Amino acid sequence: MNFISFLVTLILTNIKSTISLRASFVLQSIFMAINNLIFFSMWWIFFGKFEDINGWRLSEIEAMYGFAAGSFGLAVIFGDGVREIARKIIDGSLDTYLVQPKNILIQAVVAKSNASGWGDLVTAIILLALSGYLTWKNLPIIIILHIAATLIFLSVGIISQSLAFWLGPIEHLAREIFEFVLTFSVYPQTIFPSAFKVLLFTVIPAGFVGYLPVEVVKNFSIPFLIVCVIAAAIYLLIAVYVFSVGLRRYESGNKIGV
Amino acid sequence: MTKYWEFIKIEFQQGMQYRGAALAKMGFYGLVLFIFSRLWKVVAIKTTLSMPAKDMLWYLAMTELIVLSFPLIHLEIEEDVRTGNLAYFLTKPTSYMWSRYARGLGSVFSKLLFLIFAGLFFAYLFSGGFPEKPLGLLLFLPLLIISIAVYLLFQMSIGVSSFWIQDCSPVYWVWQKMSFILGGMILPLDIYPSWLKSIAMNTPFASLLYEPVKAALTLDVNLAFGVAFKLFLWGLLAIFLLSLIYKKACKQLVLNGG
Amino acid sequence: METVITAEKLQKTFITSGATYGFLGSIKGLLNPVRNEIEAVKSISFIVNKGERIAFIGPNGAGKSTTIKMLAGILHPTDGELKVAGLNPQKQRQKLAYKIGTVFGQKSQLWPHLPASHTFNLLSKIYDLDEVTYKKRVKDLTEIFSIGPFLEQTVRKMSLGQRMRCEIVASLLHKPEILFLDEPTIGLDIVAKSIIRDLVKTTSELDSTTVFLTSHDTGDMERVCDRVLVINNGEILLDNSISEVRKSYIRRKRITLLTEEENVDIQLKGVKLIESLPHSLKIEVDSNMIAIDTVIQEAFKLTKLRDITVEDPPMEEIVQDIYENFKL
Repeated sequence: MNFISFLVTLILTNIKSTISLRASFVLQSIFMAINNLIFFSMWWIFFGKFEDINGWRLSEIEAMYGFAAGSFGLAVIFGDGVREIARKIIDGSLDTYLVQPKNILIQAVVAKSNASGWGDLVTAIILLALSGYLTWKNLPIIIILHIAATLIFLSVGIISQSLAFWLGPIEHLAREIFEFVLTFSVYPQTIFPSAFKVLLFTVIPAGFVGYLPVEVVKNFSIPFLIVCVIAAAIYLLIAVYVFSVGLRRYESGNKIGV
Repeated sequence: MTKYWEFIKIEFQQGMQYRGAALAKMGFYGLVLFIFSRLWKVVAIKTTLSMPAKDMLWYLAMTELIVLSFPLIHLEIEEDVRTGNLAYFLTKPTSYMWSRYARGLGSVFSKLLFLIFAGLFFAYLFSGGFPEKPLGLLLFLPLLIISIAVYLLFQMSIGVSSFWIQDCSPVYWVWQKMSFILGGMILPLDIYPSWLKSIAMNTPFASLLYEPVKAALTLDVNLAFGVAFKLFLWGLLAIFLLSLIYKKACKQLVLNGG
Repeated sequence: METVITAEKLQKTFITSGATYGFLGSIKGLLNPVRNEIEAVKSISFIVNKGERIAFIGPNGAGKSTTIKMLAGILHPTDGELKVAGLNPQKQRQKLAYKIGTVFGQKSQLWPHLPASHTFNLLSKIYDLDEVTYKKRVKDLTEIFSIGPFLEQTVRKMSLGQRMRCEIVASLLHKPEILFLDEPTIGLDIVAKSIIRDLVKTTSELDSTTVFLTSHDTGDMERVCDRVLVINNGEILLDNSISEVRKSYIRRKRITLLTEEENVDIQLKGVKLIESLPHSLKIEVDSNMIAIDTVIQEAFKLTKLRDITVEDPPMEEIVQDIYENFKL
């Protein structure tokens, strides 16, 4: 109970902090939505000319982009701190959480909220609505899929950022890995050879963010839904494990650059 | 003039130091080309494109080259405005705008050096050969430089606008996405519906991205001269716009003391 | 007396893999590891009693922050026994966290774009304070620290002194038994410094909070603390009460006299000339050998005085003195 109230307060404090800069908040969230939709208009043009991409039509692409934007948005609204973990490891700011009694990883991840995430969320709602997959029947599934994909984004962020425990200043690399997952999750994976698809469900788990969720709503496939949820749990476990091993290294003080 | 040449040189040298960032950009470049090489192959099986699938990829490689080589010059200007550095620059014998412009060019050239090779390599690798008219690549070089010279001016106008809007990134996002869509960065304007194409052709975006690349790939020297002339006119307009905003900003700076 | 910190033969050795920076460097390091051992803390022992205010001083790289990090549970010792607030920091870090508070002068724990009260509210959840206790505690501390007027103001807009007061309140909310302060007055002006010092001392006396303070400012050490630990090269050089240290090390005072006469020469035992300018004289007085007022009276005999300033020698010199004493 205490934990929930702590987590809620932490999240709200961050969100309040972004909203307090009102002009910037409005500008960022609205323009991010416009930005996404303009970018997406490429697909409207594309499907004005072409029929389908290996069986995927406009509605699937809309749903895919919606899922990716929505879960990315949630990830940066609730856990934008994830993109600063490497920096905190290097400059020692992690100490702040170590002297406090609550979970360090949670505090580090939920340390920041990004206003542009709300724009992503608006994009997701618009595109999912346009795709026709946003129905009452699908709603619970869509929410579950979003939560799973958000956790996958955050886990990838935690794992890549935690590399700094061993490798030192690699903020660039860590951010790039995060972006890679995002980039791959907004293109139809039907175009890739199957050998490559293996990569998208392992090293760069973009397949669970955009592709598989669309297959779930398209075919109302509960098994695929379960796969998404299990995948999220596995990635999260790996992330927690990698971070805690790294943290032990941090506590021993033998990190690079002491 | 020579002093501005020094600005170009120093920024170029500085740009050469950021190898990590350059590698990340090259990685992203390769990633995008890989994804679209697959996409065009899949689409080309069923539909006839306006140009060979191979050239579609080379088209993207060239437009991406222009877009990726841009420094975040609007953010640097925003920083100068926020910190009040701008007022300090005003006391120098060089024009702030032109020295920023020169530094911007220097930074672009340092990026181009890597990206041109990355582009040639990835486009050759993923498309399986040179474009139909390989000489077009040579024709592209001067057009590329003119396009960049003009694009930079527009981008700087956005930076100076931070005098009024504080956070100019959101505006830049939208500008950037407009140039993706109306400039036909990913999809050549030929496959756009004709109403949209005619709108796009009347914006600077089409002359910045679509037309130079089109002229190069079709090895159309007349078109190339036409584009160069159009870009020249857009450049004049951009200079006019920039100096207008800049003068207004300076007036405000003098009145309010930054 | 109740003991709150016991350190026995505490030791910390870092193992670094040489200068390997970045990704490529690390790969090189993996293939051809160069292991360097650095003994940051060699073997230190000390005991701190409840309510004591300790100044922990030493030059940069002496092992100060390594020791504090071990006490707070951030770093694990290589060897030795450590008990803080009855707990083992390495094994019971989370439990310990409820009993300690930390203020790191250069790192803020306040949310910059929100009023400080928002951070306090969050901290009340982090430390599981119940609503009633928390409200009362904030009320009390707000009064003591006089932060009421800017409590609802955005932290970003506060002055450094106001912010530091809020930082300290933030770390006292959960009534820690031990308060760790790292350079709490860095960057503050003289007035703000003395406010912070008085407040730390008052609150420590009020709740009998143990204070563990590191600083480069002699004033912090003199005005807040009653005991000083000097560390260098990972070893404790000196562990004594402030009054003793003052007697033996801060005995010298610097006096600057602005004189009516153009040239004044004071020749007394225990007085050393530092600088003589027209109408200005800077001397150093060894207060063990001669009383300050005697020196000033002597000066009065020679000339009319326009101004007198009496200062402590800078911390660096006191520490230097201590080191010299230990033949370092």
